[in-house]
Amino acid sequence: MAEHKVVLSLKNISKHYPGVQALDNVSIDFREGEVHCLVGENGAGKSTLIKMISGADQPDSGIIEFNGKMYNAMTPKLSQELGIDVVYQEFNLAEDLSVAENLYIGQKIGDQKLFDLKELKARADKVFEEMEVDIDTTEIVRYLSVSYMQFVEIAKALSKNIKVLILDEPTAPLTEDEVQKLLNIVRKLKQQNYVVIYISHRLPELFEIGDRITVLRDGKLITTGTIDQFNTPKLIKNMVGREMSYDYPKRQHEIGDIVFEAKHILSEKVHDISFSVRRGEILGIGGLVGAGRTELLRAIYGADLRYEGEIYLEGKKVKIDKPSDAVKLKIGFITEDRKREGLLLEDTICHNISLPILKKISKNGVVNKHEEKLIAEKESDELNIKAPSIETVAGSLSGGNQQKVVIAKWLAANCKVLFMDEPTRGVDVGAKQEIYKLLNYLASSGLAIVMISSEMEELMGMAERIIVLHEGKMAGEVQRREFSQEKIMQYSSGIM
Amino acid sequence: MKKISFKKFYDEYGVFAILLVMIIIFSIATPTFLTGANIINISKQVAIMAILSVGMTFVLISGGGGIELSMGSVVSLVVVLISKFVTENNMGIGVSMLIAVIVATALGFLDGVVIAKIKVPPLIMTLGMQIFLYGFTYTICDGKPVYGIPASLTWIGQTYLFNVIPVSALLMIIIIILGQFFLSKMYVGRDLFAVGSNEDTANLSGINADRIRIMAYTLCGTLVGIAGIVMLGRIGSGQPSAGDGYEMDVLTGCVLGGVSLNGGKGNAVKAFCGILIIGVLSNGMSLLGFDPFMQKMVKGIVLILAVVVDSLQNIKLKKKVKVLN
Repeated sequence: MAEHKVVLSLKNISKHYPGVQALDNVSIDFREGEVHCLVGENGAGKSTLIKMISGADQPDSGIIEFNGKMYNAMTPKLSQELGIDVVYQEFNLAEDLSVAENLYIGQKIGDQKLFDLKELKARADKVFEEMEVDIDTTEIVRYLSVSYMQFVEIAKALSKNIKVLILDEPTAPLTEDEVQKLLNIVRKLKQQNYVVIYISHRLPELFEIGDRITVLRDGKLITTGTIDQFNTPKLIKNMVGREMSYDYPKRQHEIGDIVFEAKHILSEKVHDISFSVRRGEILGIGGLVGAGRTELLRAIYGADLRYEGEIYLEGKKVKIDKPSDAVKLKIGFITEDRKREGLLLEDTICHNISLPILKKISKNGVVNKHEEKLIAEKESDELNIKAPSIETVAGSLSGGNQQKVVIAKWLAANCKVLFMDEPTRGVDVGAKQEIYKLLNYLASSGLAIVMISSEMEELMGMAERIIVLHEGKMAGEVQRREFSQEKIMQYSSGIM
Repeated sequence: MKKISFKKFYDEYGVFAILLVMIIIFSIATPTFLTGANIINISKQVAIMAILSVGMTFVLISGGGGIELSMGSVVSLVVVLISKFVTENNMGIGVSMLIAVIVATALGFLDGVVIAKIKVPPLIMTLGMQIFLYGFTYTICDGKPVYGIPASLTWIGQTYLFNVIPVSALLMIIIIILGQFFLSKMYVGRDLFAVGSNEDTANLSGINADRIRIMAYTLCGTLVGIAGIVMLGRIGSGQPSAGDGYEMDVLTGCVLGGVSLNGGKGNAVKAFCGILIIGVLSNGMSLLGFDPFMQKMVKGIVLILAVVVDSLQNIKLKKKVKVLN
């Protein structure tokens, strides 16, 4: 590739979020007519980088240069004006409007005062013509397939006279055929001299489409180079190689018999997955974001529809159709989004902890408040929840303490099996350590724990075994003695 | 001394304060307001609304846009049904009342099932029910009131215990106390709050949210049935228009009483105070010679003002959070 003009240039960008250095002195050039791939593990800093470019968030330090002009930060408005647009994984379409209307939402067509549908359609048709996508622009978006919605998103960006297009995991929801269509569009954009910043977990397609690749890890830029300088193993090596930054607390207790077993779980996003977990064991579930990890646990728990699959608890086949069935069987679920699914934010610690056991501590339907308080006090002490009292409102606690309240809830319910989805998300470093210790303590007291985590080192530090998912399927299982970041990454990327 | 923010004070005691201010104003403005006879009068006037407000509070707390707009129509239906049973079918009074309450309960159950299981918005379901039942009630009585109700049916609306306390007011107080006991002391009541404030959390904690919602509408139906009996006792004839428009006054009272339209928040005693505000306002203005149209204007303004003060607090709160983040 000839040396094209640099359009967008990041210089020494740093960004700190509580508990994590999301970007650390990152400098990258983006050139016109190139497809620049960004890769990295979960949490490597890709999303933060996009936010800096799109103006969704501002860097702590560093300079963003666009066409020779220097900026200390972007705002959403400024980046739009400069011609930068992002197509996110989550579509941002008005589903009940037509394709053409979606393209020009918020833009004024012509100088007429009235809405000119004909002109709108003509313009929209032209955009799709240039993309060489065959589509009826009067069709209502809701009735399009996922791939076409994706194309509409891209067309929407192109209709705005942009220069830089950022595609965040554009192929994640697409089938093999559709991926090829999308890659064709990307090639076309490249010919037309756009800057395309392409983020994908699917490594093979990077080699098909990319001109240059930048690898991020822990917020740092590891390497940038032309595509021919890389191959898959080298890429993975660069992506992982993370330092184990914590001391993970050791455990020495005995692992017991199998407590929980799920067989052939099948749901919309999960294809025939089986696993088991033993007393005192922490089973890790690895894989990239969107691999179906959360969906697997939700399908087992009865929170999502399960098409097929059998569940065994202590050797006996059990029926779980809805979460209340699971709770009755003493299976707890700590979800990823504790604010939306784990806590009653406006209610007290005490009421949050007693939520699953209200019926049990009631006599003739009346809650025994004394017993409720005793249990809440006990769990709150055991987990060392830092709050003035158990009457403190849960929403006012720090992330780590909120998480402890959720854990306390399941301890109060006397769980035998505990599902945990990203248990340390959004908690600071100190609280993380505490939660790790807590997990070990729970495991040593005989609980069987199934833990999803996007942080590979956390999984490796905490789990006895790790099962790795890739696009809804079981990609592999790794025992503690065989743990290596490369191996897990390879399974996660579906190349093994 | 601990400083209490205006917001917190308004949340906790606002409705009591407004009620108190109103009582003071009317007591000064007219000597007839604060008399025993008038207080008994007010309690009779608000009894039906207050019983309904307990049901409305349950439904509003259940969240998911919970609301019950068919209350008035169900009250009319109950009134006409009992009247017909007793005068035309020669059925016993007790049996007639029981059947009518069962019908009201079943209608609430139906609302609940359609809302919780089929996910029809409560506004639509209960509005449809309101319109249907209006037509249904007029059809079964040929559009004419049913007369000839025996005196034994009207005692609940017109007699006094110890010659002082109206039976209807006593019933109202019992129901409010039971309602608040249910909400704050019983585990199903607590589950109801959990479902209303965060359905996902409640579900994942093993609470069957659908079942709890259905229960809220069913209990509401039962209370509407009881309110219908009191209504019949008070008016003494089977008027097919008896309950018309009641749901809106009840809703107004509940909102004044701080029951959240977003679910998860509410208190039967405070909702009762909201109802009392409306009752006191009507009564006081009547004593002062305001015509009914003026009264409507004032009621509308009071409702909007009460909510505006509350919303203003929330706007400020939101801004504060932004800065902290």
